[in-house]
Amino acid sequence: MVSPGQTLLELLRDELGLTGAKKGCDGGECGACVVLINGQPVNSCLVLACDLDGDAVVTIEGLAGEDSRVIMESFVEAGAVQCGFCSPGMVLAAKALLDEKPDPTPEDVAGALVGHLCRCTGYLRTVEAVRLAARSLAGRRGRGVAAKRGCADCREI
Amino acid sequence: MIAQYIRVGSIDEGLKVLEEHRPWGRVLAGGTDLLPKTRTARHKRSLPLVLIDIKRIDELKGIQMKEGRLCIGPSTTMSQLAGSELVLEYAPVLSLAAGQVGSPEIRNRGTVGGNLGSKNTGADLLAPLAAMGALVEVRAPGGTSEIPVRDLLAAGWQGLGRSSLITEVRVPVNRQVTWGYRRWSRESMGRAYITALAGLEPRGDDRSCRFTAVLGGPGLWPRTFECQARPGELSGQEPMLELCSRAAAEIFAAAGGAGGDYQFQIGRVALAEALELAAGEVGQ
Repeated sequence: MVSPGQTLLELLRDELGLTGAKKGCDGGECGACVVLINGQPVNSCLVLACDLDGDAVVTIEGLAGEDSRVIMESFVEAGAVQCGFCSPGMVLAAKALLDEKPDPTPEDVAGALVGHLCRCTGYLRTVEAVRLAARSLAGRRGRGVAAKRGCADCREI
Repeated sequence: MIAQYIRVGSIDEGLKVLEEHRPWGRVLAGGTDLLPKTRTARHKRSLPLVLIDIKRIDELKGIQMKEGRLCIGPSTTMSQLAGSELVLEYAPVLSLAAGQVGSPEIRNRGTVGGNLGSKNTGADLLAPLAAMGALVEVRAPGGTSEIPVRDLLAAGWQGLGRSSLITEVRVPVNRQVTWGYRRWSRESMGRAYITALAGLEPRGDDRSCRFTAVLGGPGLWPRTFECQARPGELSGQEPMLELCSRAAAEIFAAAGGAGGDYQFQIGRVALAEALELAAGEVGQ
């Protein structure tokens, strides 16, 4: 049972114990609450829980599979994770971007992450992390390693 | 506070529920503008809002060409608008404007109807739609009307989403005009402080053009300036800036000064940048 004003973010954190999505600004400006809804990155603080009906929601906890592991490891390797508060949102946005554009330019990456604030890294490492992930994923595919894309790579809640 | 959430399946049902819950009913589409507003202290304390979710009304979805006009359902998201092949073909400046709103996350939820009904005179779609002579179909309990976007301020803007619904946005297609759009914001992802449209329509053999300029922003309902621009006025950055400064001066004078000298200075430069985009398309 959800209340009319309860957001998806509150449902995830308070009812389901999925605390990967963070309440930063509660106004759609910081990106710390981003989740994937039907494969698209969305601010969960701007979605009412009762608005969802048959939609597929993926949080950072739900990213499974090799592709997602590569993306998360790329963030660590590039030094794009410090306090980690913005990281779940950033990783999910990166996942959505790479699902659509396997070979993004730096401008594509910056555009995809424009809705994500980070107080720690200065953003350059984050852009490099996404491009590193893109190269790694392309390399794996080039070696014939099976890689599932899109929602097959995610556990839906 | 959000006191109630109601999902409706048709336009008639939506209007009926809005009427039943006057004055607290608010149309909920993407929620990217409405939901942050419900979190102000005033809203939390005193306004028991009833949110009426219209996202599942099929009649409000989709983009199609009808009788030479690009017809856009108000539930179209900014992402859908920006990526639509029809929009890119027949009204690419709308794609350009929609693609600059907020972030991908905001664009995946924010809608055309919400942008127009946000009560923000700097909304990114207002200036391009006003410039292109677009019309909105608005349905209210009293009936249906078709209102030019540029006249919306005086003709029912305040009632949108409270007592009436936008049911379609109709954009005349004129392939002779090329448009450039620039928005300027004081912060990343912020609302536009200036929205600037420049349109060029070649006229005559002397390479002169019909120049249309539109400026909008906080406190500045999109206003239009038009003149015949000689080739010399479009021949480089300096003459274009001079032309745009003249256009901006007339727009701001007609608007009674609007946001003051600062907004005017930003506006004339943004307009000149929009004009460079349009001129590049024309091949000037």
